[in-house]
Amino acid sequence: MRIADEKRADRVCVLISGCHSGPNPSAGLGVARSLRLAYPGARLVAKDYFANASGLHDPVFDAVWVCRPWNELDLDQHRDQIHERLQAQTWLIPLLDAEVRWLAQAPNGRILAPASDALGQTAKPAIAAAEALPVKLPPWLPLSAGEREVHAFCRAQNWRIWIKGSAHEARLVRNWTELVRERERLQEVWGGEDLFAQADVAGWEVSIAFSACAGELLDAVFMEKRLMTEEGKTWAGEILPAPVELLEPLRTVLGELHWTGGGELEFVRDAGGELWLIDWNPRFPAWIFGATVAGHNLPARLVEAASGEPAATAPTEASQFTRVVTEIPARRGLPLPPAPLEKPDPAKAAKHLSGMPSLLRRLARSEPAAAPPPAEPIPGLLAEDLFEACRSVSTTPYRAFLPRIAQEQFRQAALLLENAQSEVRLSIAYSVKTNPAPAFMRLARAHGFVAEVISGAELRWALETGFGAAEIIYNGPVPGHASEKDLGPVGIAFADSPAAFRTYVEAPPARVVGVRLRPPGVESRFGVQMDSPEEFEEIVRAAAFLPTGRDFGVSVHVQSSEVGVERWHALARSAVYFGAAVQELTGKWVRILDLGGGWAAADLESALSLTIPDLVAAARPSLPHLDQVVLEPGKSLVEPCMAVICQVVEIRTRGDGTREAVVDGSIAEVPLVHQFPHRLALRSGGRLEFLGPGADRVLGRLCMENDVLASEVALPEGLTEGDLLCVCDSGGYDASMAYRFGLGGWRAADE
Amino acid sequence: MNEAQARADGVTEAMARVAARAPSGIGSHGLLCCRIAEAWFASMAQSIQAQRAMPPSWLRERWEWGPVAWPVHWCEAMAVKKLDCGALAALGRYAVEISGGAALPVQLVERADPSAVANWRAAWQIADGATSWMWDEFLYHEAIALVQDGAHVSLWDTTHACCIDRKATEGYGSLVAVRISASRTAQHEWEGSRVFWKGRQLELGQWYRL
Repeated sequence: MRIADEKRADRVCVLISGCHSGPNPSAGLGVARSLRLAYPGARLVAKDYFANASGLHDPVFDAVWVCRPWNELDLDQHRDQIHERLQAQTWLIPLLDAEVRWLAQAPNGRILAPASDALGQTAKPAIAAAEALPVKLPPWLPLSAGEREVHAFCRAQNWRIWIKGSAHEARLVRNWTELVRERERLQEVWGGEDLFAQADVAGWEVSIAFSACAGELLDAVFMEKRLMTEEGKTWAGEILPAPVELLEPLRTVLGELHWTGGGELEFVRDAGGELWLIDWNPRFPAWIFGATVAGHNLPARLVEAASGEPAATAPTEASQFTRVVTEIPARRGLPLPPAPLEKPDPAKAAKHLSGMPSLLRRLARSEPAAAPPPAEPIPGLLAEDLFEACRSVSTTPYRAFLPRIAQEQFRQAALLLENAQSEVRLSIAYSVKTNPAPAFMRLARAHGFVAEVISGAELRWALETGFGAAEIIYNGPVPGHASEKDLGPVGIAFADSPAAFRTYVEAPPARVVGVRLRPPGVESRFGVQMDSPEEFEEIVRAAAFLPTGRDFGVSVHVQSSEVGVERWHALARSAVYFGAAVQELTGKWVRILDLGGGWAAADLESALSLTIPDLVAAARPSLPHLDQVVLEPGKSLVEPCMAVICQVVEIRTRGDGTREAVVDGSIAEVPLVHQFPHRLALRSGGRLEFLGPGADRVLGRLCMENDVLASEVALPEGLTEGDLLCVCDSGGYDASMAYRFGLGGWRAADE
Repeated sequence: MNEAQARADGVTEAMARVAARAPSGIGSHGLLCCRIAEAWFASMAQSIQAQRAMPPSWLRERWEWGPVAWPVHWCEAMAVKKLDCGALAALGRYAVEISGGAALPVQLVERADPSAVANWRAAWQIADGATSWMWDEFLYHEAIALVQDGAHVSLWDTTHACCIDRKATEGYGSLVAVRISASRTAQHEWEGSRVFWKGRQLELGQWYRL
């Protein structure tokens, strides 16, 4: 659609690009309303890339310029069209991030937006320009750093993670499965080379919006959100003066960047008042008219500085603003589209009608792509074990025990235990359920570990494999008396409910009797609910009757690999608080503190050398009679100790050039393959190497949609059918929870 | 505003009405019931504070706001589903102090409007709750002052789980008057006679019009 009337009504004409005013609005309407107040006679032209952009209909605009969607546009021709319209007294204020990036490739003095250099310095996630500001940046890591590195990062950030790109949506994820899913969704829409993981910061969102011209800061305001939409967009807010301690450094930075245009710095303000910078937008925010009603007409200041035309002073109406929804007539000459036949599938509905993802992909192609990091080398011991396993395998899929790795894992754990600087004795109870293989039971006994069991059957197995009764810890959920009445007392027994604890007190099944506590804030079916005063009272009243000669213990089981190390620490402390409270009320000292397992293999060392000794030192004053702290590692010990060896049976090349390797293994052999990263090692042509990151996939043998063993990997050029793929890190629950499927034959469940 | 105007808008009378009220506190029967309840609350407060280092917003996640029969003892407070602003403020102070912080009692007069007051009165009378905390367009309310650096405080409304330092002083829901008092608890005994709030020096125990 052409601009309806080329004649200017006044001395100022402004093209305003980005005018959709939906639940996630662009700033066009707010900028236009601000400029109208300052320049009543100006010609304001709305520009957008899809005809349904609702702001196009607002009467504040004198005319509209509806451009074709980005996926249809000839960019060079469109750029020429824009430049052609930027004549004397005509300016363009672009308000779409990707458009600002694109326009910066061919600067024009009448485009009121920052230049490429400035955009580079303010691009997420590094936001280099923020170094000079008194703000913090949430920790981040590119997804290209590698899956194990990303998983470790997420654990360190307590699994409150945003998956983001440099110029588009953000998705909050709380576990590996969600991360992989959202990564794939974002890649599908936007392309994915710049995706990164960033820590979530708890707090409230605030912003600074500013207006600058040729590096001179014209005005700035601080905005505190008061109401937000479900998507987190501002619905109401308060405008405040920008803090001096931030304003002056910002002024300096904008000068150094030679910034022209609007901008917004988005922060999360934490409970301590610290500002965490989460985004630097290269344009005015959508709430900009809220600043105008508070007496700060930032768009007008920009146009005034650029044009030299004095702007009318904005009256101050209120420091607080809110949005309302209102109906307006559709613009004559811009009819609404016809109704579709049926409501679109929300999963498939085109969310970006302007084709914005297409623009970003085109911009990405014009920039040099970063080389993917090389695959990490295979550590010596693992290589030795895998080579040996591959040589000896006769049928696949085959779960190989890796003896050198296993020996080293248990040896290291025992050494860490021995060297741990702790005021209280630390001990390890091997979690039998994780993998009850005889080899691991032997290793545990050989290194002085005790055994942790959850059932009568496991208890018998521990006894059969050489553990003495006193060397066994019995956890729920099935109470010991219910499962194995004929077995004698064990070393320690923890009850999973108040009723089970009462039974344990009346007839102690162990020298030490305790209770598993479920900390406040943890959703679980296990343990006594500590956020229930009633259950707490039950435990207190029962513990008071614990016979003399029987010791009391408390346990807490939360997987640090799932909740994060720091959060685990906080949750473990709650066992100390509640244990101390029971102790105080009953006079029954807490002798044993059991901290459970759930550590990632890479975190066990820091757990034993740092996290747990710290916790014990902090707990000591509250638990002065604590004799022993027990850790129940399972997966952290044995996950690396097995690999599932599969054979490549088919290699496919897809239409987009990516490749897929089908193997004879499957999710039946590696049921947790989607829950945490597994290293993949390929033996091909006599060589053994990890698969690095790429665009290819490894598919399992099953006819199940989710039987995808790996995506985002690079299959080597020389890959051939018959090559062996080792799915490493499969020695934990991947082994104990594997199931027989799609292999023919029949075996009853109790065989 | 001159004195005549102040009298006319009812604020002076409102402050006089609440002048003699003491901040609320949770009592104890001195028996095992209250010992257990208090120990449970202390453990909860410390556990949650360890997970999220911020003012005790969890109180409103656990208790709804509503009438409660006074005096309130520990075992009763833990058993009910609703607590009023005084009980929530008392628990809030305890939660902060048991977790190593410091908090002072805050009493407030707030402005609503007569229809809201009438509605609350009707609801609280049905529940046999006291209604002396509301009259005309005014409410008596309690909160806590979180002690920060030195004697600087920030006001936290335990009923609405929000900071009220920048709450409006005009219009519906505004703050009209404030009194911050000294505190003597098992965890902390406040020394000093004044605090600083929003740049103002306030003597403890005195009502101030906002």
